[in-house]
Amino acid sequence: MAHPIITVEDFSYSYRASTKKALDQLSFSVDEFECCGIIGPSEAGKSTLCYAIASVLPHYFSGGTIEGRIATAGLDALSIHLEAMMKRVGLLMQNSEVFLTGIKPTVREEIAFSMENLGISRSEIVERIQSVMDELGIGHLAQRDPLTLSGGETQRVALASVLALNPEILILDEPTSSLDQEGVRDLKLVVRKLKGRKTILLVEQRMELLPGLVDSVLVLREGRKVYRGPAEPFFSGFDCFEEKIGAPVWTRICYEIGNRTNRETGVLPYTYRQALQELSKAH
Amino acid sequence: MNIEISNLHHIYTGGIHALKGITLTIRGGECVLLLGQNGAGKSTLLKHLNGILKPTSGDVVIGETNTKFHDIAHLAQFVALSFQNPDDQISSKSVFEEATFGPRNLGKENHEDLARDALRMFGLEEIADTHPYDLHPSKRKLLTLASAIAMDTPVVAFDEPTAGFDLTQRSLFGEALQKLKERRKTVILVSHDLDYSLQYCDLVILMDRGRVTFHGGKVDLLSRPDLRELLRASGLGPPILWRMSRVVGLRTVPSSVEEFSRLLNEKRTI
Repeated sequence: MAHPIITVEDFSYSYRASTKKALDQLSFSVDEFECCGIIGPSEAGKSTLCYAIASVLPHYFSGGTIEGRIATAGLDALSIHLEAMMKRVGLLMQNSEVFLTGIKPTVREEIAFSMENLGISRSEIVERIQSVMDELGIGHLAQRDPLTLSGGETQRVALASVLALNPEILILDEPTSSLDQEGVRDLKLVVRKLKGRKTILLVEQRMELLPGLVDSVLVLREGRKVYRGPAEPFFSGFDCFEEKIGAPVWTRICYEIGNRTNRETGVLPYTYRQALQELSKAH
Repeated sequence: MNIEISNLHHIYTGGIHALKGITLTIRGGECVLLLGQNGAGKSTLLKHLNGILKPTSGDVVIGETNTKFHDIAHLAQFVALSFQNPDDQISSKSVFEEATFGPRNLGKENHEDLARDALRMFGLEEIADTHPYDLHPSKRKLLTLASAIAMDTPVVAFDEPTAGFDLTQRSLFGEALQKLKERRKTVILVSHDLDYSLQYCDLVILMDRGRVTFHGGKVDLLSRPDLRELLRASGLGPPILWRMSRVVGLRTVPSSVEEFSRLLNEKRTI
């Protein structure tokens, strides 16, 4: 029986000097080992939510107004010390280059840095670096200067630093926004690998990435929840059009051309593969 | 205004040979999509257009001006560049000031009108007095796009303009591109998002490790039998629209969902 690992209750947040609530009375929960896509238009509060769940909000953004409760991995995310939360939740933000220390000469030392800070033993650090580099397929980068990496490589190194702390929950905030198609494919593979072993929150603007990858979605708009549930009915119904978040290209095509089956059943193909199969059957 | 690039090589100080003999012509008024993997040399090529980088060998000629002999201040009157990361380029205290900065520096008397017009394209005129750093990151990005357009240069180049944009912001940029085309601007677009950008561009340049592997019309590219291999060499998969149009047996490859639907209906009625 799955049990919730993240519980958000009546949570509202306004940044300092802002009259608008970035998040407004938000309540939802995420089960252990669930892979949940967080979507919605710009300024819906997606990143703010990531910061809140990872305990970054009260520590890095002073003067904001907080209401409600958030429990992450059994800890009070709104008051816990950030170091304690870092061992439980890994957060990868949009600009992964800001994760680099800029002073470590090699990728290996860069990945070691966060573990050293948390006082993890040397032998344990060596072991974890090896396992995380194997997992992400970045062994060949070990001796490279972090500042000479490409965007996709930088991101994998940043992700390695986060995963090395062995968090139960992984939060990826628009991880693909600066990646090329190859980088996107690699990231998708990593998420697939980690699925079932970690609880994953994936904030994404590219809707094509989510069907078949995430189990569920949380849709936000102007700080409020507009949908929370399994991914398939959201993308294969007509909800993804109404929320103006940009349905996947194949879904839009099938919707536009109005396949008879779609009209009768009210169901659009969920994945790209399903769309291709359905179209080739009909034509 | 034409852009003539001949046998352009660029070797960075660290020894990386980023451009390996690029020769191509972009004609005034063309809207070109520049594709390739990270590291293919796209950004390096863009930076040669306004003299941020100078050729190690070869020439880049904008109109009548060889970039070798002029500095950025001079070349900025011909080419405006907008980069991926907005925080690399914003320097003013208000949205309006930021948008006027470029055209005012170019000595354009109507710089305020140009700024207002560009801000309006992206729905930013209502927040003209806001400090750029009080804006949401995606609005800051819209501001850098507006600031490049406000310079009113004959050539405008955008590096990954829509990364991280939502649907509304993507269509705002699409509308802005249409306006630039109507104004006969030369537009160069770097984007990984094939299905989106092919809607707006007429020509495509494909790059792979410092070389151009294809330069021609969008329709020519999409109807090539070796499209898959060609794109794969640049780290790209075929556009979703292309694959789906083949599945339903369309002869012409549509460049938007709407065109897909129209072509299919025409096929059905025949």
